[in-house]
Amino acid sequence: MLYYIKCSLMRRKAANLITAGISIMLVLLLNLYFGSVRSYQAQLSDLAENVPIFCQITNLNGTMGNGLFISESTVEALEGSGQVKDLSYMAVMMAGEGDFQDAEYSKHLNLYVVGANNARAVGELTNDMIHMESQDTDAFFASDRMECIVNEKVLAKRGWKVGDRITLKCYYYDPASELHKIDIHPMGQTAEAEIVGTMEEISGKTNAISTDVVIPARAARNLFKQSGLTFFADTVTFHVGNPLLLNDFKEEMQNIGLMETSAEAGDSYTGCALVVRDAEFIASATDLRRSIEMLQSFFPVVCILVLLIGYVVSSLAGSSRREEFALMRLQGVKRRRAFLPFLEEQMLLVALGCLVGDAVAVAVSPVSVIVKVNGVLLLAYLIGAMAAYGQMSRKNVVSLLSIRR
Amino acid sequence: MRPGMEGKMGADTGKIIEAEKIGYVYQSKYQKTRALTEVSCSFERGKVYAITGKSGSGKSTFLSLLAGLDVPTEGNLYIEGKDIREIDRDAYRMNRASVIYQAFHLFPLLTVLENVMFPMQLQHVSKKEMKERAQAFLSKVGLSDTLYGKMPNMVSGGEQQRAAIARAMASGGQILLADEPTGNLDSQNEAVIVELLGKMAHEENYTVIVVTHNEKVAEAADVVYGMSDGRLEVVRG
Repeated sequence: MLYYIKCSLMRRKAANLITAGISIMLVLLLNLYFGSVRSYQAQLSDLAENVPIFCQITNLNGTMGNGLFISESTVEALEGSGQVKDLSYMAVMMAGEGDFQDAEYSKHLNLYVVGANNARAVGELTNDMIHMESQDTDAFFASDRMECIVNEKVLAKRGWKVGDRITLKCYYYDPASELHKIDIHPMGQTAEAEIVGTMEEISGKTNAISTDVVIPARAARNLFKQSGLTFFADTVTFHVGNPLLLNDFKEEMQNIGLMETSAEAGDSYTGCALVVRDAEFIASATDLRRSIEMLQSFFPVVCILVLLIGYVVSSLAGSSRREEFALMRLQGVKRRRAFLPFLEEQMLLVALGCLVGDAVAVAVSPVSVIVKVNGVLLLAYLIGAMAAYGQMSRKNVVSLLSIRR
Repeated sequence: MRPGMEGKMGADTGKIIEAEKIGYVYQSKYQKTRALTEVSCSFERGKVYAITGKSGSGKSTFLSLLAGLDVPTEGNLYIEGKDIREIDRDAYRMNRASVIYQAFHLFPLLTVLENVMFPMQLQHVSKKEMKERAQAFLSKVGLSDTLYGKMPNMVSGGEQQRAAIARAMASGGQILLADEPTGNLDSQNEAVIVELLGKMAHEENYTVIVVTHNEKVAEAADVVYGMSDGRLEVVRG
């Protein structure tokens, strides 16, 4: 039978070319289909990177994002959450250089000191704007040593230089202050900090103040602890860890104690609400999901279409070869085996078309898509072709022979 | 021995096929048509049988039953003593009986030589032996070697029919069933085919059963059956 298939492949060139051509076109069309599904899926999985969901802790009515009192327990819960990434927080204090009498604080308090866990937390500050020689900025912000970086203008004005140790007397904002009338209190003893770097002037102001000195957030927290005070963050922002699990994230934030903002709530400095800017992400994800679902819903239709093409092409090929089939039966080939050479020949041509189509598609489609395309095409086409040739094989030999070429 | 080749009567009695009151009814969804009624006859080795009759009398249906393409709906048909319903009819056609038709029916994608080699391919004969034997059969039916490599549509009707007979010989069976074998041939080719069929029966012990309208073909037969309205009767024999 192999010899018969070989003869047929060589002697029915035009018909075989058409079959292989149809297969090539099917490969390309299926690549387009599966490629689109894959592309949308890739866009959806990359959406978290491309459209991150920004979150900020605000007061209950959502009117303030900084200058707040955000409890240390909230900061710690966010630090420990797997649903949170890029956490940035800072605390703002006022300070004066050297030791001075509390009664004279109004003459001496002229430095804004910020404790931050990274450069982003300090308004418009970026790592590029920080100049350090002995260590990198990430290591600085991660440390709990009493080190600081100082605004270049302040450094020049006060005659400080990198490597100097400066003495600061810090004052904290009282969370029990009345609205619009914030009290400040001394933190107790003075603190010494080594100047390890400088920072450029920040064009945008943080909390409507210019930042003079930045210390690591953990050092700031230690400062509060050593003074027997409760640490409060002024500003907390972060991104949702996995935006595709947004509902889980929101549930966890509720458990942490962060509420949804309420326009009816009154003004306060307590940072207890969470603003999640997820509208753009949800709109994009919904669109992508809809597109994927729509394309995937067509999968059975695509399979049936390929199956039908296999059936129709094989039926047409078979109708011109009924005599050959009948002659095989006449020569004693069993019914089940008599249609096999035609089926094998057809599938060989389809496989050949697949190879040629794959060679073209490999330039634009990944291997996983090509494998899927070939699997679907060969299987669906095989079923269609088997149905067509199976139908032919059920016909009476004499009646098939009576149909003249 | 392959299924369909076993036999009890053939070698001893010379009767290779025996029909016992066979009948055949075509059954479609809407109607039944009786094609054969109580046909009884037998066929022996070394003889040419002709079955004559009008179109639609049941000749070709009878030939289909003899070829094992179908089984009688009534009565019994024995091939070498075995009921045709019990034997492997595909193996019977592969090894014992061959059919030739008015329209020649050679494989259109195979050359004349390859057509004759085809039955031997099914029997797994070696390539070299297959080719030698095919050439010998073609030579026996009088086809020159210049035609061996030609496609069927490139040779004449008479040559195609001779190639079909050579293919029948190549299967190794001793039963040749022919349905109007000269129907598409001129008188010269007709005479050649009739002579060839006669030689196969008388010199090589084939059982040749020919369904024909042609009086000359019938005249050359050893036994002539007439068929009318599905009933068979001996005309000469």
